[in-house]
Formats: sequence, structure tokens, C-alpha cells
Amino acid sequence: MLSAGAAISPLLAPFMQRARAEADGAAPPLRFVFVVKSSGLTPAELVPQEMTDERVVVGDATNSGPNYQQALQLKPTNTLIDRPLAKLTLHESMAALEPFKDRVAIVQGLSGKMCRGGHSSWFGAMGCYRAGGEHDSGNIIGPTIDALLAKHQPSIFPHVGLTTRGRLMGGTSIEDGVVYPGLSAWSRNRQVPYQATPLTAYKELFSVAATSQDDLIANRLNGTLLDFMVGDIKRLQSNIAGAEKEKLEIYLDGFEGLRERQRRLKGVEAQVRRHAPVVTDKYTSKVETDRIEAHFDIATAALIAGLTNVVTIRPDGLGTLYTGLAADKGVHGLGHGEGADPIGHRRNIRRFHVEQITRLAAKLKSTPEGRGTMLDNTVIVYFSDAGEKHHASSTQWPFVLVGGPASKLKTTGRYLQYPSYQQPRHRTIANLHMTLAHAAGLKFETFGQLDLNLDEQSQHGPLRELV
Amino acid sequence: MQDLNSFRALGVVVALTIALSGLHVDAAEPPTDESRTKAFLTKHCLSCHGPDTQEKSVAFHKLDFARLAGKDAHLWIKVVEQLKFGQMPPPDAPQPARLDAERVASWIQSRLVEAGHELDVDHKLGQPSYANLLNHEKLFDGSITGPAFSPPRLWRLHPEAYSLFLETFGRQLAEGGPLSKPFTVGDGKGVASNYAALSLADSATLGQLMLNCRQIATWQTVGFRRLKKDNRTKEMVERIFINSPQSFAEIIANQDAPTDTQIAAAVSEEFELVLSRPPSEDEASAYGDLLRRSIEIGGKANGLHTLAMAVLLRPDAIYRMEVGLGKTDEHGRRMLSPYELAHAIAYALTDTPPDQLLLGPRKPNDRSQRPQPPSLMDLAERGELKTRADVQRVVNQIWENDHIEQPRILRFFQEFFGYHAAETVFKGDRANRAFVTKFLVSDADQFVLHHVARDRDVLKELLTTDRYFVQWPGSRQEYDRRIDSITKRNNNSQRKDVNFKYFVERTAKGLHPIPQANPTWRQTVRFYNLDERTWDFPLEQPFAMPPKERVGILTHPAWLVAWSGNFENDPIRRGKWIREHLLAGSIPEIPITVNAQVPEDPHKTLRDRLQVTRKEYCWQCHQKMEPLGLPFEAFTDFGRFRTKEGLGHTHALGNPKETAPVITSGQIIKSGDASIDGDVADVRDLMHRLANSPRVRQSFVRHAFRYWMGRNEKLGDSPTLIAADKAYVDNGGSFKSMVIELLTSDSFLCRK
Repeated sequence: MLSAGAAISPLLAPFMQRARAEADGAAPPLRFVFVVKSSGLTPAELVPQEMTDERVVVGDATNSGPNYQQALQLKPTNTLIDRPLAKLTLHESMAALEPFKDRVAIVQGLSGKMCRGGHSSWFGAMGCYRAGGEHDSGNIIGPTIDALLAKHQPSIFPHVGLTTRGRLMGGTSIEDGVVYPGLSAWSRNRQVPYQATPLTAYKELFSVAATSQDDLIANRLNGTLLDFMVGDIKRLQSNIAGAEKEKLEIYLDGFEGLRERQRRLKGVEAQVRRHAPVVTDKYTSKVETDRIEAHFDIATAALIAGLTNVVTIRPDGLGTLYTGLAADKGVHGLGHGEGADPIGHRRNIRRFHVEQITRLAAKLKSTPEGRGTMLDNTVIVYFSDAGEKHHASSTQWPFVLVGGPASKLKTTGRYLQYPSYQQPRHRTIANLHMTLAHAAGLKFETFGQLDLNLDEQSQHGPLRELV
Repeated sequence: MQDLNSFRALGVVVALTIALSGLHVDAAEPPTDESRTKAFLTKHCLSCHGPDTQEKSVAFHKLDFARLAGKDAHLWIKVVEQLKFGQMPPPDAPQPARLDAERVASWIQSRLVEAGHELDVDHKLGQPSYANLLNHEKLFDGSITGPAFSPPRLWRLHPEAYSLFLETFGRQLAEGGPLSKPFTVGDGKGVASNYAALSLADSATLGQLMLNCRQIATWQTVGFRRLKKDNRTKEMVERIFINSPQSFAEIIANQDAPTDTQIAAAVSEEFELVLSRPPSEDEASAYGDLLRRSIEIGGKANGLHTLAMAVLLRPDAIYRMEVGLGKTDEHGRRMLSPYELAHAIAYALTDTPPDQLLLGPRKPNDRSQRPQPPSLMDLAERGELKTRADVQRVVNQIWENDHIEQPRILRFFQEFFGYHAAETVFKGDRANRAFVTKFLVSDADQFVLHHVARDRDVLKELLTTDRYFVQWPGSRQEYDRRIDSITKRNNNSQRKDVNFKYFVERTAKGLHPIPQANPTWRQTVRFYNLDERTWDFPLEQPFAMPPKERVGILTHPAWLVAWSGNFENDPIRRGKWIREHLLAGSIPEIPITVNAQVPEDPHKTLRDRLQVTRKEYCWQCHQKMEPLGLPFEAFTDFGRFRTKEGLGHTHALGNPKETAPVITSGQIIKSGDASIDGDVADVRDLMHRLANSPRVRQSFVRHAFRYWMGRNEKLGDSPTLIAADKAYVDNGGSFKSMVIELLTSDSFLCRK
């Protein structure tokens, strides 16, 4: 890599620090994978089987339509419930995680009423603020937790966003290219792009491992372009003096950063080649489950190859029709109770997501790192941008956490249910996001906007039970 | 950084131990920087900070330059700041020549920097939050004669302008996927949101920018293949969306390797498309070379793709360069070149690139050979945009041309007053569905635009008139059209329909309905203390609001909401706004030791609870804020006029059990204009006094300067500010005259 004493671009500095830190035997970075489903994550169906009688009420399902309500409801609580999962059986839709359940925390009862409810809280789900409308993501008020974590622990690709579509509703079931699902933001009004085409995502991340003629040409041209731009801007810079030169420098830094990325990718070429996933038919399939599987493969490989520390996977939108799971209605329709067996299909979709998450966890667990495995340094966060149901009220917002370092995040096989909204010791999703941030060493005490109907103090800091 | 007006932070008289040889100047020796500084201090400082008096506990007569960068550094840093911001000597004392003061400040600064001290004074001079520290009196007393100029600079495209730039490539570009918005406005707020120095394109911007450029390059070379439904056969067929420049298409269509002429044509066409100018000789050669090499590597389409990316990613496609390529004058200043002028003028008033800004009625879809009106760029090319007189003529022409959208004018008022932020103030459950801030903001926009068009006593009218627009559709015809279309939708079978009742029955009674089909949205007029159930919609607007309630834009619900808190009014921030925007004053940052919180007490009014700031320590700063903001207690935090303030828990204020009479008095303290200082009875008294103050008018001019120059004013800009102020006054309070004066000033036209 770089020789000592060579001028180090500020962009490279974090990498160098990390490399040095690793050489010094310091802990590897804490990685995060956010899996953000649409249409709500049903709280009652996250309850372990033995706890069903105690925690789940079976009521009547109302008719399908705008006010559709599922029959199964989580019982509210006034006190904190904290049970070990060891002797319990996970809900059938989460059965795949059974072998990992000592690394799982099911977190229920948090609220997110600082966000808008309904079909999506958009950026609010990971940023904790009110934004957007029924159909558009609206203004971006501030950064989201995934982007903050990505900035905090930079890597060659600070944030990898993978999805099957950009729009929440309408349009085709699968979209292609770079899309903006309205979930992640670097900062105010600066959205994080997602890659909707697995093949393109693969090319971007694993280009150094490419072997096809077209890919090699694309790489060479990209290199030619970056070299040319650096030269061109330097020529221009010599004509300009003073503070303005600095601006060009910052722009130039951007290109040099990309060039460095290429160079750095070259440096880890062997590693990337070793871990790059095999491109299969799934990468170009028109079936959404294939694409989602491909995205999970890409995410796994990118983490293992050390290309990124933060991935956000958005498997579906409300316009997705899960043909691969033989669903008769799209996600939106199922959320409104349409079709033959909406609850069954929603369960199938959840099961599918959990299976993918388990596949990822298993791969990480089989990859040694330091004294443990990569799963010890990776937290998978499964939740929905629409809180607890298709039209979220956001008084409940369930999360499933998998993996992570037990010393910093007590995801050690627990079922946690916080006291209900406005009860003493009730906590919000902001507390959960801060818990993740604290685990990564990012110790802020407030995040996003406050819920003005809750005590302010309770919205500060991480969830004590988990840190 | 705290108040530059005082040295009180230093606390005690600077104790001096080493005797100085005295600040005498020996006339026989040639002046050195040190002797010059001594002479300067003796002449301008010692009478207040010398052996006889030590104002603010500061004295210079015993200072030793040997300790300048050592023990006394903290004092000298203050000296540099005071001199650079023009705070000292005070305006009523004899003034040094500006160059002398700058020289002395620079010498002290360089000594400090050499010794390793970090001075942020130059940084502060450029920051919007410190702009008002520049001495107001000196800017307007005429003692400074310039020369005014701006530094050469790169000005990143405004986000709106970038969107329009993308549109120039054609609508179907979006077939390649959504385009990203790489730019955000700078760190500055209000009029500083477009400060040249604060808006950058960093690596995160570049990432997003590249995605867009890649999409454009694909659109120009191989296009996008998309499945589309055939309208006739209803079958999905593959279509290619492509928009190749002619020279690109020729290269691709031709079997042979491209000739030098073809290469040159491709480079030239792409430059024209993206930068609206031909490449220079060097550029033509460098980009031609890039194209040739890229074709060798990846073939024609790939090569052209690379060329397109390179041109699109050029810094000058993102940054507008204002280097001053025109003639140099005797002060070493360079005038903007015609090409630079075309851009500068276009982006001063519009978001439209200069080659598309047509100086005449636009003829849409005109495919005939009839001549189109010339664009701003055409004028530059024809040599009709060179002199100050040219600029004046063209700006006037654009301003008077109703066919040219000029969003930058309205945006100035939005950013100056900040009322457009009303939607960002979160009121939670306290807001009902009738609280539609976009109507309030659009009413305020109309109010502003009305006075811009009228162009008489603009600021005074904006600050004092009680005539507002409320849900006005723009014209009488448009009103009739809307009512007609709404009533047609109601037929007799819908007699019970709420809209039928509202529109048909009211019209029958001879009352004019609000042209708004949504019954909840009609209720938005309640925030003006109007009742949609009884209100006869005025067909001429603006119209007088209910008597003795509103006075100017600061009592408009949009402004009041924008400057309110989640639960209640915010007299502190409102007062701060007036202090900074209307009085050119400044308030130090809140000390970190202060936990700024208004105590809660459901049985006390906000005014009573704010008594906490009357403690001496707080009041030194707070006297500059609340006394200006408290008269607005005549309104709720939703902008409704009130005479009683509800008490009790904030959530129950909709229907309070306990109330207290509203007290609306306030005070203007140390405004800088002694004629308006003193107690004010109510908001009307406050606004009228402010509206008549020359200082308020000048403060407005300073903010307009910042907005249009994209930077803080400097002392050297004094002639520009005075001329703009004079143009405003001489033309009966004409905003247009003031802006034209700014846009034809040395500050706008010259670079150094």
C-alpha cells in the first residue's frame, strides 16, 4: 500500500488508522446490517410460542380495507418484561433463527411517535423525526442512524444500500438502477442512494475481481477518467488563488478519493476475489425473492471482504408482489387484509426475511475474526419503516437484533418488552438507535426530534437494559 | 466569540511590568511597522486607553511589543478584531485612514501568527453570523470611499439552478432512473444560504453527481432500453431512449475510426451543451486526446461516454467561476467579462442558465425559423454586455419582463423574513387539520410580491400595512373560474353536501365564498381571526384585516408561526430576529454555562415566566431581545390575535379554564438609533417606530447586499451600501432601484 511518509489524503486517513489499529491488536470495527421491511413488523408474531397465552390477545379481525386490523395483538404491559429465550421456542416465522437464539434480542414496546405513522415513516424510521407524506419521502430533516454509523466507521464503501425498488407504492414490482427509497440520509437534504440491480451492485463492489472483457474495459475507462479529472482540475487550480483554490481542492479530493478507492480495492484484490459471490441467475432474475437472496449474498460478501461496515437492505416496498412465495396480492394488499390468506402470506414474507438474515448470520459465524467470529462484531437489525403494522400508529415499534459483541450489546437471547406508551420507563426507537451508536462508540445522548408527549429525560441515552 | 464592543472579557487592567520606551516616534528614522503601529496607537487609542483613562480596563501606554505575541497576546488578538471589524476607534472619534488601520492590524496579526497564535478574525469576517459586527455607522457615514470589489470566486450552482440544468438535457432523461439532488444549500441560514464561500462540492456530493453524469452520458451515447406498452398492440415492447449530440451520432454511425475533425466536433459540441461555451485551444486538445484514448480502450460508444462524463464533471459545470476576466482598472480590479456577467446576472435574478434566459416573450415549441428573442448569452456574444450601463439596461429589462420567472427576488424576502419556515415548526397534536401552513406561507408570498410589484416604500409597507392576501387565487377571473368549477361539481342531489351549502346557499345570500373546495382548508382563515362561516370573501385583495389587529409582515401568521416554539410563542428568538435583521445588531452566543430554559408554570403567563432573564448577568444580553419580542404576545403561537392568554397545561390550551389579560408593551433598548429607543405601547407602536428608522432601512440594505453578493459586506463596500440606500430613498422606497444599484456596483462587477 502506501509507503510511510507519502502524503496521505484525508480520505485515506481513517483506513490507515484502522489498519494500524488492527496491527496493534485493537478490536475490529462494529458492523451493522439494517434490514428494513415495509408494511410493519407484527409484534404479536414475534412472541415466543410459550409466551403466547401470556402476551398475545386474539380478537376479531376487522374487514379488509383502510381500517383493517389483524386479530392478533400484543398485550400491553406496565412493567418491563425481560425473559431469556434459552428455554423458549421462537415464533414459527422466526424458526430459522433457533440455532442462533443465544445471539438474538427481540425488543418490543418502543414507540416512535416523533415520526409520522401510516404507510411509512420514511427517513424518520432511522432518523427519528417527522418527515414525508403518504406517497413521498418529503424533506430530509437530518441524518439517519445507518449513515451516522457509516461515517463513524468509514470503509472503502462507507454505506451499501441494497433494495429491489425505489418507490414505496405503485410502479413495477422490481425496479432497476440507482434508486432512492427515502430511508437513509447523510445529512439534512442529502439522501443516500440504493442499488436496485444486484448485478450493478456486484460490479460496483467487486469490480476488481471482474474477469469479463466488458468489465475490464469499464474499469480501465473509469481509471482513465479519474486520472484525467485529477489532471484537469489541477490545471485549473493553477489559475486560481486563495480561498477559492481550497474549494477546488475539496472537489479534487473527491476524485482522488475515488482513485484511492480503486487503488485500495487493488490492494485488497486477492481478498475481494476470494470472497466475491458467484454471479448466478438470481442476479438478473425478475423474481423478487431471487433478487433479495442475491442482495443478501452481496451484503455478506462485502462485509467479509472488508469492503464496508454498514449495509442497509430494503427487501421490499408496498408495491412488491412476492411471486416467489406464491402471494396472490402485493404487500400493500396483504397489509389491508386482501386476498385468500393475508396473514399467512405476511408470515411467509417474514419467514423468508428471517431465513435470509439467518443465512447471513451463519456465514458470519463461520468466519473467524479476532478471538471470535465476525458475528461477534456485526449487528443485524430487523424492523420496518412502518412500525408495528401496515398503517402504523407508531405507539409500538418492534425490533429484532441478531449478533454483536456481548460486551457492548446484550443481545444474548432475550425477549424484552418495554412498558407501553406513556407508562413509566417507556422508551422510544431513538433510545434503540442510540444503543447501537453507543455500542459503536458514538456516544450521543439525544437523537432526532423529541416526542413532545413523552417525558424528555426518558428519551435521552441508550436502552440501559441492552448496554 | 463574544461582544467585540467591549474588552470586558479581559477583566482587569492589563498589568504591565516591563516598562516600555514609550510610544514616541522618532521622526528622523524611516517608519517601520513597529513605529507605525506605535504612532497609530498614540494618535487613535491613548486618549481613552492611556495613562489618564483606561476605558473597559484597557490601556496601551505601557504595552511592550516584545510581549505582543507572549503574555499580552489575548489583548492584541482583540485589537486586531476591533480594527478589522471597524469597531474601534468609535465612530464619534476622529477616524484613521482605512489603509492605515488595516496595515496596523495586519502587522499585529502577522506577529501573532508567527508566534503560533490562531486568529479566526478573517474567518469571522466571512461568516454570516458575525456580519453585523462590522461597524454599522462606519459603513454608512461616508468616511470610507472604497474601492469596492469582491474577491475572485467559485460559486456553486444553487440546487434549483442545478435542477434546471438537468432539464436542459430533455425530459426523457428520467427514463434512466431518478436523478439525484447532489447539492444542498450551504451552512448559512437565511440570506446567507447561497454564500459563495459556504457552498462546496465535497466527496459525498461528487458521488451523487457522478451518478447523474453517468446517466446523462448514457443518454447521450447508447441510451436506455426500457420495456414500454405499445399503445396500439398493448404489448410490451423494448424501446430505446436516447438523445445523442449530432457529432456523437456521426462518430458512432461511421464504420471508420473518427477523424480529427469529428473528434474536435464532439468535444466542441459537448462543451457547448454543458458549459454554453466552446473549449479553449488547450481544452480542445486535452479532451480530444482523452476521447481518442478512451475509444482505443473501449470502442466508440464507451469513448464518447467517457468524454461526456469528463465534461459534465468539470468544476466549471458545477461551480460558476467569477474570476474577473475583463479589463483591469487603476486600483488593480478586474471587471467581470461578458461571459461572466451573463451568468452573474442570470443567477442573480433567476435560476435559468444565461443561454436560456430569453429577453422577450418565450415562444414555446416554435419550430419555425422566426427569430427568437436574444438570450443573455447572445447579448454577451454580440458585445452588448460589457459596461456598467449595459448591465443596468439588461437588469432593468429582465426585471420589467413578466415572462421571465424571477424566483430569486421572492426567495430574498423568504430568507430575510424567514416566514417560509412556518411548516418546519412542529406543533404536534395541538395543531388541527385546518392548520395548513402552506396556505399561510403562500398568502405571505403574495403579500410580498404585491409590494415588490408596487415598488413604493416597500420595506415600510411590509412592516406596517394591515392589508393582507388570504387564499387569493390571483385575479378576479381566476376566482370566478374556480367558483364555477366547484359549483358545477355540486348538483341538487347533493343538497346536504357541506360544499353545496357553503357555495350555493352563500351565493344566494349575496355572500362571496372562499374559492376553496376543501371545507377543512377553508378553516385556515381562522388563523387570521376570520370566520369562514360568516366571512364575505373580498374580491379585491389585499384587503384590510380586522381593525387594530395586524401590522405588517411580522404580525402575519406565517411569520409568527415560523418564529414560534412547539408549545408557545418565542419572544427571545423574535426579539433576536429584529435585533439582527432590522437593527443590524448582534447578540453574543449563549454562554456554555447557561442552561437556557424558560421555567414551566401553568399558572403564569410566558411574559411572567421570562422574568428569569432580568437578572443582571442575563439581562446584559437579553435586554436586546425580549423587549422587542414581547409585543408579539398579542398573538398566539399559531398567529391568531388575542387579548387573553390561556393558562394551564400546554395540551389543554385549546379551551383554557384560566386566562390572564395579555400585556403587549415592550421596549427598544440601545438600537443604535436614539430616536426610536424607549418604551413601546404595543406591536403597532413598535412596528411604526422601526419602519421610520433609517437604521432599519440600512439594515435591510445590508442584508440585500449579502444575498446578492453572496458574502458579508466589508468596510470597503461602504460606497455600494450608501448608493443602494440612496437609490432606495430617492426613488420613493423602490426595492427595484436598490437591487439594480447593487447589481451595477463595483462590489458586484469588480474582482480583485
